[in-house]
Amino acid sequence: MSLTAHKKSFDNGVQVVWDATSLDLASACPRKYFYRMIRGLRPKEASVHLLFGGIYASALEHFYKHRALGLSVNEALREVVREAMIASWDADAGLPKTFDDPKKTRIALLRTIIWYVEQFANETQDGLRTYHLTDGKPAVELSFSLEFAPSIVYCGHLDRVVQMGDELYVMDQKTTGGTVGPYYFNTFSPSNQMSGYAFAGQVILKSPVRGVIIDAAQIAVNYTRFERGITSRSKDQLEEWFASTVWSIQSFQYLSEMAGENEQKWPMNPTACTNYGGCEFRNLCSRSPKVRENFIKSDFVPHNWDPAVPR
Amino acid sequence: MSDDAPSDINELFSRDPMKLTDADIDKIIMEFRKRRNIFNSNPAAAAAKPMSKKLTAKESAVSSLKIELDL
Repeated sequence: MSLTAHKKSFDNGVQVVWDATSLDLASACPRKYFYRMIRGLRPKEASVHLLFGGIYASALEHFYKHRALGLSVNEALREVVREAMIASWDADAGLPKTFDDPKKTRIALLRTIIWYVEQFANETQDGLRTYHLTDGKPAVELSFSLEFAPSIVYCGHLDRVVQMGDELYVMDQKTTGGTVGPYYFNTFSPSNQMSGYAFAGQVILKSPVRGVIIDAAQIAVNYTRFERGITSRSKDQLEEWFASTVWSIQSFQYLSEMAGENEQKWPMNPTACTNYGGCEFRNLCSRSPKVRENFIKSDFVPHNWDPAVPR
Repeated sequence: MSDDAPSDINELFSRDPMKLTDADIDKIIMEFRKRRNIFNSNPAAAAAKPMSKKLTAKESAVSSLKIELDL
């Protein structure tokens, strides 16, 4: 099992440490999972959505971390604006990184970070407040690693847990180029990521977690509009998600044992090719198997995502 | 760079961010705060993307003539 020998999340070619990303990949399309997790590939041209969303998520995560360390809102904002300016700059070329999208530009990224802080950063007693653990530490940047079953560890990272009244929620931020409304928030139920957050939150905190509060940013050309939505999870829903996740992962592990590193034994799911703006491997899957390796060499680069490596 | 950038921070966005001072960063923050206030005061108007004006044949001819005269 040479392709995954260097990954801590794999044991003899079978993934044993899982996260929401790898679970969604395998659930969407076994071939997609094979290309991304086993072959370790991603398109040479990085997705603008991943670039924009990644810098934005880091900025907000670091903002709350700076705040937890005692910085004022203005000091923390200055730090994350600087970080985002650097992260969106190509130091080798001496130019801003390419944001190949009419809405998700570098300017829009900085605008969105600053406007988010303006809208949501000040905590009030009657609004959302960062939850504090029993040792007094703020519940920010909580990594979790839970043993779901023998040979199945589920891990992830909670950016922040908040308190609204007496209830606890995990916080998450999303960006979209589309309109944010009830339809948008409904897409998070069911959702492996959100159910995993709520499930892990209640295990880590040893308290019920009602769900996930999502601060969604609609990125437009001239403005960013924010909407806050809640996706709730009941105890029964989380129990169902847990059982379903264990069963799904066991099925994927069985497929791994049977298919190994033989591409042809990882079935494609053509119904998933057009989801979320189109699968990044769609052009590859549409080629003849005989020439596919050439396209991998020309259009893809290594991407060794490993859920077992802490952030 | 997008044309929605406040013109006086365009230059800051073109600079190596490692060399930006705290004052430069604060200037960026202030400019975007100002733009947010403008947006919030009239979201519909601020959100409207300015349309590029299509010149009439007469206006095109006049502007072409003006360019020739300037030359």
